[in-house]
Amino acid sequence: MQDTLIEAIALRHAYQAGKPVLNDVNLAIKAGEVVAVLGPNGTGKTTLIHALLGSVAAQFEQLTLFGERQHGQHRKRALQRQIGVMMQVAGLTANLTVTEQLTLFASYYGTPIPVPELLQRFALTELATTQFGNLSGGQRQRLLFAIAVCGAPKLVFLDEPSLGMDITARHLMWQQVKWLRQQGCGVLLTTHYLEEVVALADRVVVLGHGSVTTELSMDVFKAQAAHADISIEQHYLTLIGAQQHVDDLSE
Amino acid sequence: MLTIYQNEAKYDLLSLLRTPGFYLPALLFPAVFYYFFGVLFPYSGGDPARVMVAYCCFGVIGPALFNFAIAVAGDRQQGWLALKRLSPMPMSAYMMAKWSSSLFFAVIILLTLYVIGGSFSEVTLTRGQWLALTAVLLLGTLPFALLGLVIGLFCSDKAAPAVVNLIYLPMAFLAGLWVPLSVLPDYVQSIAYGLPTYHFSQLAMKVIGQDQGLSMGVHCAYLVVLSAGLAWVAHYRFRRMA
Amino acid sequence: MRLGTIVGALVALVVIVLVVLPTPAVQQDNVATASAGFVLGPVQVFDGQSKLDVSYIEVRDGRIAKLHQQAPNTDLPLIDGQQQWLMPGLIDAHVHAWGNALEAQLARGVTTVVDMFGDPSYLQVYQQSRTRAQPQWHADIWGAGYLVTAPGGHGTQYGLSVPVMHSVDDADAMIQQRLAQGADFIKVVYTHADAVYDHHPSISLAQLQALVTAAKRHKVMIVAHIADHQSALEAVQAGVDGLVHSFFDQVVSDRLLQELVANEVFVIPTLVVYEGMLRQQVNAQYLLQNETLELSAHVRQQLQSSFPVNLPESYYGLAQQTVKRMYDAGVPILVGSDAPNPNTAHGWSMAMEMLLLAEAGVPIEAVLEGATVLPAKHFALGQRGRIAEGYRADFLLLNDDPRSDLTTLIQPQAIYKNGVRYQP
Repeated sequence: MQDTLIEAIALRHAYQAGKPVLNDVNLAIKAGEVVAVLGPNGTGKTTLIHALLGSVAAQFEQLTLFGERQHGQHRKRALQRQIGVMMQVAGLTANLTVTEQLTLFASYYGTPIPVPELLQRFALTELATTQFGNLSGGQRQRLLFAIAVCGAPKLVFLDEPSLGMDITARHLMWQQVKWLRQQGCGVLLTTHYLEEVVALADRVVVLGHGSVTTELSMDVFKAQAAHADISIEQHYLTLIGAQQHVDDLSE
Repeated sequence: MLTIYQNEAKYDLLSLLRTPGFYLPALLFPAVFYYFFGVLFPYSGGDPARVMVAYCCFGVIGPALFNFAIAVAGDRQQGWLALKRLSPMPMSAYMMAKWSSSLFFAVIILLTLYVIGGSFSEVTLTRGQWLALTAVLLLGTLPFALLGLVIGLFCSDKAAPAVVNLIYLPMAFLAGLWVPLSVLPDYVQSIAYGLPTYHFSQLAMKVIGQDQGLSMGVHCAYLVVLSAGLAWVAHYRFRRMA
Repeated sequence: MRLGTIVGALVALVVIVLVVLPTPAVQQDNVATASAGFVLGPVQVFDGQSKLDVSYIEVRDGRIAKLHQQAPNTDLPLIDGQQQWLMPGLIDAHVHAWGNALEAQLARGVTTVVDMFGDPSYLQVYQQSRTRAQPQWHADIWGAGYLVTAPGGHGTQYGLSVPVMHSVDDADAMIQQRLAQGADFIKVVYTHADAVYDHHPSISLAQLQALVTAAKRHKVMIVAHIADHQSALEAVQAGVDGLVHSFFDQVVSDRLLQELVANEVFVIPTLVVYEGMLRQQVNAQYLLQNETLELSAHVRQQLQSSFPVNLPESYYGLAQQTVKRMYDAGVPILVGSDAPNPNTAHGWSMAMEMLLLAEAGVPIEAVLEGATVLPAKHFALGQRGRIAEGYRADFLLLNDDPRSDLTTLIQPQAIYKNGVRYQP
């Protein structure tokens, strides 16, 4: 039986009154489960992570984190230390080295993974003394991924982790996600790459205009696509209601 | 927990020390300004200690305002701030780190100005006054750090330096930090009462017995209320930021 | 760790700089050992009024213990006087002291100052040391503390929060308040109601009279700041004990002279300030162009500054004639520089004022008396301002007889304060 790491019921958030970004979203992630959150840009995928972790003032009927009911924006530090997050960071001026960034973030956690191990696991050893601003896009993504897992978390949020990665880097990243799952981690992954979803996800959640439009297991997702004899992409486009638009264009 | 504060402070300072474009102007500007207009050509002709303390006030405000405004605006726009907020690090560690870095540079600025004042301008103060002056000048940067924070939370990283200069330089001038208020028109004095730079400098002037004689309680109360107000604005903004 | 080294180095630097930074030279412990006593001679002694027939001066515990014609047989060390001229330390009867003013004064041979308006807390600090004859590296101070002036009046523009006088009924409270703050005497600012020149608001004549009455009741001296002849006349008629400035709107009238003499009022002309407004010669001639003097940039700048007024130089002649007529009539003329106002600097301007008084026609002997004996007498400064047994060992060693050349006072060869040679 799988433990539920996080469960949100009726999560709502609006940056401006009357323009909800999240609208009654229900979501749960179990240990050892990878949940892919899909959806066009601007449907609230990143805001969902902020809302779950309390860095925006979202409302909810119920939010449970590691079995503890949460209220408002406050999250206990003991709970935060079991969570790792990867966010998109630009930071051309950031001038701390890879090792320094990892050392700094690892120090936030109670029992972090040793920095040399992180360097090796994310193929950063040769870049150890390179400053963040001098890394390529893919190298940065690797470091940011390493930052997300440096505290040996039980729950990991990955916001478009493979953005800007080449094929090798992406496969390295996939291996790490699989490794996390093996460790019993729950992973929430937002992405635009469907082959990534197929390779990694146990469950797919599709967001549209702040609401969950579809939620189904990977097996069902694949089976539906096979049944309709369409590609995964076409099936996804149908799910988000864009297939009609694509058909119109091609005619 | 303490290590988080230490590490955050350490790496914030390390990062700044790798940015000479930030600290060289911050360190040189007050020193050069003081040497030319406070020592070589003191057109205001005030008491040397008064002139030195005025430039010290001007000098220490700089790193507090700039480090907060520019660094916070940058961190916010590039995404570091969001990442740090989602991490288990308490935001107070982030703030303390920024403040301690600005104090690091403030101390260097003070030492430079003290040495210039003591060597070229006949400034003599008792050991207790030197110490008290240093303490007042460093603690008094807090409201300016918070002001910088608020600027950093609202302005883009490109706009922040301009906004800081637009606030910093007039606030220094109108509080009598370059030219004493006594030689400025009377309405400047009325403006000065409203400025944090004025109340901050009066606390420092009190150490050398050259304040305008208002109650120290008034100056402290102004700065405490202002700090609380700015902290509230920063807190409010934080909670509504993605 | 590299960063640790940087932070450590900064902390060390802070400590070093704070230790090395200049502090006022009031470090009594350093000089205390030198206070046991000595015999100085042979010297030629001018006691402030005349030359004494003595050659050796015996100093014990900060005071002049004995004067000798021959080298005395004592266990005290003998300091070679080399036949230099010895005279009492100077007394500047009009200064405004704060910060390091008292050391700056002592460094030029002024051993006592009379402060005509300043922060009472500064006065209180230094009042403690003036009764002792311990070694110290600053001049002693007597002072008025806050002056008495009208709301917005002269004295309120310098940033000190001076309690002001609103009505005649305030007079007694004003005097009491200043006495409670340690004032040695009362200083009042007065400009008569019909003055035609641009001046700050002033208390009324009735208020001035009430103040004088209250001061007499409290048995405290009251002196007046005036800037014109009519105000001077009214202040003297009201009964003030001294005028702390002169004026240049006209030469002193016979009537005012009579009143000054009849009421035994002394005058501190502060010519050097007027010279700065009207002529600007004396500092250039004796100080700024003298390359043997070590003038700091700050002092130099003060000596070159002047009040922003545009008045004909001829007015200075009127000020000079006034001083000469007052002296001739028998009015006590006290030397006061009004430092650190424009054209003056603490210490340096004492000799300038003396030179200007002599130039105006006051005999050198009278100028010297006005810088020593007279201020001690009129401000009741006790045993100082004279070379005599029991008096405070505040004196100067000079190259020449000051009665023949006042410029010898610009560079005293040695300055003794409370029996210890001042060393910067």
